Amino acid sequence: MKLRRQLLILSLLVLALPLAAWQFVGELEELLRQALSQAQQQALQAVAGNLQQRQARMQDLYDKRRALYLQPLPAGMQLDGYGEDWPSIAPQFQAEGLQGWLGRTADTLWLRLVLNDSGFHFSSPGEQQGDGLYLWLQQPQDLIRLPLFWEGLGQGSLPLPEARRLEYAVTDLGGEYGIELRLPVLALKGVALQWLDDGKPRLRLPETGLWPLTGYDRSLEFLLAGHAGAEARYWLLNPDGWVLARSEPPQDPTPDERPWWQNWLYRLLSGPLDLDEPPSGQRWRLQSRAIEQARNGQPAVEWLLEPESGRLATLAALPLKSGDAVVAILVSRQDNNRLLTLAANALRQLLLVSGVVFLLAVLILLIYASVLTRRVRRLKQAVDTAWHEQHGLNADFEPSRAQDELGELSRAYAEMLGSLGQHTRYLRTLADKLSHELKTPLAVVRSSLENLEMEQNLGDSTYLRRAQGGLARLQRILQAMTEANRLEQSIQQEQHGDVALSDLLGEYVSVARATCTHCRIEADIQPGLHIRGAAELLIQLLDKLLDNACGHCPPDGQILFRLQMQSSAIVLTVENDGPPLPEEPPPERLFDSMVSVRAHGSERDTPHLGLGLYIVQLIARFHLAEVRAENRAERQGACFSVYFPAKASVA
Amino acid sequence: MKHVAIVEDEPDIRANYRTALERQQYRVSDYPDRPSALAAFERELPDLVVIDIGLGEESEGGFDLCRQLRQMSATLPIIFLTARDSELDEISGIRLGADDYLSKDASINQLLVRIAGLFRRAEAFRQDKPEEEVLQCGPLRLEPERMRVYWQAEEVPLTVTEFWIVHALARRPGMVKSRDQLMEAANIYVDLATVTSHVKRIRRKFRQLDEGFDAIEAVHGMGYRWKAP
Repeated sequence: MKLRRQLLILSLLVLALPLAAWQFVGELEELLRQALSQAQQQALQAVAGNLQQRQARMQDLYDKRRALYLQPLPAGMQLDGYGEDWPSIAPQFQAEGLQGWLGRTADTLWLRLVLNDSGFHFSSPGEQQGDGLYLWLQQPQDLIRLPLFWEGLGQGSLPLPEARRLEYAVTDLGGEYGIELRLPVLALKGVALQWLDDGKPRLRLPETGLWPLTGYDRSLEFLLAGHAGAEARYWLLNPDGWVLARSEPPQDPTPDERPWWQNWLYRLLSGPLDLDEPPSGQRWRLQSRAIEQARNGQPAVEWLLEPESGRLATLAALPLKSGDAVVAILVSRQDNNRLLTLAANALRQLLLVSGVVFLLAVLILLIYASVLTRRVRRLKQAVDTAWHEQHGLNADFEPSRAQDELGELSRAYAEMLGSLGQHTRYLRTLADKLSHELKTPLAVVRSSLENLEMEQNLGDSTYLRRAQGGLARLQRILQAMTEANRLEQSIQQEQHGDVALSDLLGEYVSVARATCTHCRIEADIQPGLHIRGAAELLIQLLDKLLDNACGHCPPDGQILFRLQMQSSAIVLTVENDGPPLPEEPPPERLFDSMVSVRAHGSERDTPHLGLGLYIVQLIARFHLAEVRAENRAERQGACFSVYFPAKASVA
Repeated sequence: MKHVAIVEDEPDIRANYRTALERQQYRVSDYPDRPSALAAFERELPDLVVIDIGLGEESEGGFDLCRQLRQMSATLPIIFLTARDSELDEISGIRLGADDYLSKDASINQLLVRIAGLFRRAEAFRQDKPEEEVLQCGPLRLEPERMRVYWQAEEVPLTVTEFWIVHALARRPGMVKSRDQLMEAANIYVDLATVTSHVKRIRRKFRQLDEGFDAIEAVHGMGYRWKAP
């Protein structure tokens, strides 16, 4: 993976920043919420304390804790046995096969029952044998019992004391019967009823005694009003959740104009905390998780998000206890929209800031990565160039002055290349120096031998001849050693001219056939190829290539000169049948100074110092050509090629 | 008796050369360094001087000595001995006025041949003989006795060795002379590359007079020939 991509991936870590900040805001928000909840609960405690100081009220609440609630009913109720006009769907009391609702309008008491009785029998007029009800009504002074037996579906009535009447309606609800009763309001204290099935008592509610009654009590409102405000409302509920008293609803609760995404963000933020829907139920009965919990004796707080208005609110519920019994529940609802706005704003800020920081960080890292990559790449290129020039004439490597590790690396490279260059230069001049140093003692030996020969007239002396033979050999070695150096010095003064390479090679091969006798020399020359260069140097190059090929070619082997125009180069190839190139040194090193792969024991007159192919390379470089050594693909043998650039050629 | 002076810092070589030269009936005086040689030359000029370029501490003492000698005499034949091949180019480049130069690889015989040649040339000048055997080949004019070469009537400052090479080529224009033949003619038995560099230097000298000089032609793989006009 490239450095730049690595850093880019690393920069993704910056994404942790908004994540952490998100977490932080979330925690902050939770803390805020806890503080708000506590404050709300404390306010609730204050109300409760206020109420608990009033013994009579508490006693009353205690007495009526299981009382039946007379729910306030809207005006215009129809006496028809159907329950559509009743606000509360859930029954207020129920027993096996019986569900009941109780309510009142300003001047009338309403009772609705649904009886589930498969064999419903109507009574004959005046008899009491069918299905029916006994209804006990506790008045301040006396207890009256009303027998209720109906003779069929529809409405009927019963006389009551003080010239009042109880009206009722029976209707078939399909397997169930709906019974609705209406009677003028009496100062009722309690109520009980008994269901008679075919004249026999089936069940009585309550089983003994009477149910006390309770209802909305305006005299309790003042306790709540003091605490209520624009953003807080209070309710006093009986343990069943029926509203005993409430503060005035806040004036004009305008729905907030907030973008949808704030709610969405808030939901995202508050994650694990469930935001409940507002308490269900009607005006007169509140139901929610917190209230349910309070009924079990535990104070509770829940957070609500109203789906339509998008308002955030807190619902706190506090049970009022007398002894162990919960006698009432205090509920407050606090509008906490500001919190939502606050959190959403904080989040928006956070996202904005962290987004900007993220982009900035990525940008900076990208730039940094680019700079770093460029530096590394430049270093690599410089090393490459220097490395290649190393084999050429001058290695020019500018070390970086940067103080960091890359700078150090660059300097280390400079040092390494420097000493390598020194070594290369040393190797290159070694032959020259060595030959120079050896020449003087050689001259001493030679002149002495010559004098000896002349003076003693030992023209035919075997020893003298051997000494001269050895001397000549030494001299050849020295010449071979200095040849490359001399060429290097003189090559700069050579001039380029047009060379008919095809013709030159043809002539060369014909001469070479005459001189090289131990192998066959073949040629495959594409005619008419010209290059710009120096003919004498090219002859020297051919000499060296031929010499090299001869040296490796077995007796009666074949040496093939090939000259071809390839796509962008004129390629001169000399192949021989000799052994393949060794693995070590690598083929490109064969053209370096003093690299030889010939067997040491080879008994030949001419010395091999690994300079022949170096001269080939020198001359090739003068012609801007490239040299290559490789093994032949099709059959055994090595192949040395010189690629002359075609653009330098002249058609 | 001709008087030959040898300036050479290596005592063994000096002694060997001295012996060889004395055998040839030359009067020989030898000096190990430049100051002693110069002091002697100021007293008496020899007939010919053989100078080693590197003289002990002075790596180019030979060049300095040559320059000083030339101030004393414009005609004194001087032969350089070199240990480095690169110095050959330097000599021709500086053109100090040496009459010939020889690598230390060369044998004593080659040195003797050159000394004899130079004496012959000097003799021809002194006698101021009428040009007997002048070789004219296009713009080239060769005077073998004086070992002088003219190109388009201008003298080309060739050394003795170079003269012999040009002579060998121009005597048979159009005929290819191999490097071996040229070596033989020039009395150099060193290596083929030396012939090549000699030919290169000869061309350079001609080209200093005539930019378009191309009379010496390389025949690939074989040798050189003088292009017939």
